[in-house]
Amino acid sequence: MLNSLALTKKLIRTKYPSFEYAVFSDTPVAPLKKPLRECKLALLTTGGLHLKTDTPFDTKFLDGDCSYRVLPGAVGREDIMVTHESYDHRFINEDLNCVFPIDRMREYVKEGKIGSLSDEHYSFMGHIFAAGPLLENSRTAGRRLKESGVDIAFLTPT
Amino acid sequence: MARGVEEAGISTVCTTFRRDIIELVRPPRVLSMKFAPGRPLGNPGDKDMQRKIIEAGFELLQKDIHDMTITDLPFRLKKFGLF
Repeated sequence: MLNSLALTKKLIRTKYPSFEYAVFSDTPVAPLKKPLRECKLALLTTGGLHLKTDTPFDTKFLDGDCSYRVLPGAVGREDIMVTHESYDHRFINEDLNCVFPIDRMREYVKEGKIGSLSDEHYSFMGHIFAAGPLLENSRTAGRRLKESGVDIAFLTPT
Repeated sequence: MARGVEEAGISTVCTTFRRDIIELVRPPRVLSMKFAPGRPLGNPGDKDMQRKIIEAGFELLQKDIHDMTITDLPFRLKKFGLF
């Protein structure tokens, strides 16, 4: 009997025959260097969120769309749409925060639990079969966030 | 995704509903829950659950870690159709 990893791989390979999991043996660790109450936080998701005015993700590209979209710090639910075919949108349509917890984070800033929120949050697609470009694009997002003074990031893969 | 951001010097914490897959890519701080796709913070409208998950992430961010560290959280999803 196949375990869940092997079963998932078998299912993916029906669409993408050369699929292999990305595997790493090391773990990069950036230690937190200041109290949480002084930290600037950014959200990152693979929920396929983007501004209604932005170019949608390409759901037809077989490798998976490894690009990202920037969501501005002041973004509201009414500004956002989802282009992602691999999860049920009923949940995010009912409550943005179950994928992109921006209201919760704004509460934590008001409460003084964290210092501030980033002026930019990042959204990627999930369901990526060729992960190479995704790693490079996440490095780019990381560099941009670092340059803008972000200390911590909360990631919500979907 | 966590790897690239962490390499830039930003401390990350991520959620997962696939502990088996996350263990292959080894991000530093992980909140693992027996959830389903599309709801990494749990049930829509469940502010209390969302806050408990985020606060578990804040706790993990403040720990002195040197390798992948996974916190298993006991939360469960309500039934919605197929899930």
